[in-house]
Amino acid sequence: MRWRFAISVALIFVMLFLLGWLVHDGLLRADYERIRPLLRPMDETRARILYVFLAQLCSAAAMVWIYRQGKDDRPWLGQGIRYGIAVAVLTTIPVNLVQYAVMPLPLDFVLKRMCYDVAAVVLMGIVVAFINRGAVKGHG
Amino acid sequence: MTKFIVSAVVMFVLTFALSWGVHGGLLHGDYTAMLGSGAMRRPADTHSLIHWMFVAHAVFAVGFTWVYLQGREDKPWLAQGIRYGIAVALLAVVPVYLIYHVVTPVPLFVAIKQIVFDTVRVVLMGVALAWLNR
Repeated sequence: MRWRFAISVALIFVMLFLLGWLVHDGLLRADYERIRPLLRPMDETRARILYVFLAQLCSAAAMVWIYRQGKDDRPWLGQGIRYGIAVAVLTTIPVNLVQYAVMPLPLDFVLKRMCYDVAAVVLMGIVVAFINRGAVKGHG
Repeated sequence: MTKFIVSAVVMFVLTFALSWGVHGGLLHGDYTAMLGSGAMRRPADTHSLIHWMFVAHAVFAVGFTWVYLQGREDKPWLAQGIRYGIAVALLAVVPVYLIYHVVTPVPLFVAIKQIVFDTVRVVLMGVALAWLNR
């Protein structure tokens, strides 16, 4: 079942980039322009793009590993949605709330970003559950 | 259900206390040095938003407990706790601070310290959670 693990990680890695680009560079583009003074200049960000690859790879591997560890024999769609919500509760929601408390970000921007990111991780939860439907529990 | 609630409450206390130790103690000097960049709120402003921190840590504690209980096995609790802590660090600590470093003016050495200290925090939480649910 290693191939399912590898395919899942690769797919989630790609989804993190595509959905991240859609949300942060598309839907929230105007909002990010508002907070531009708080961010690094674009050329500095581009120079650090390798760290983004590393971050997304860690996220993808952990997301798939944890799902496979806790999956059971129930319908995959329900498990995927539930897992996406669990990941949002574990990462997306607290990270956004803490960032609002420590950075001078507008609340409406943080709430909007949180909603889009929650939708994205639920979608990824569904994809992980679909690929790993019927697979044996465990990562190997 | 009782075990879940007790575990979530203990995780809430632990995550809040350990985060305070890491971010309010060990990294305090680094954060103070970054105040001039304008990318962080002044401490007084952050204090006025402390209720958001409570909500964030409460949500994290529930998620941390929920996911662990879903994947718990009949294997030794210590190894399960450590493994779970590392998995959560890879999901919720390492990527977050790496991306902060990329998009905000957080220096790399501060990001590395954040990753190391917060990884230790979630591994300790994983061990405590595994022990509670052994």
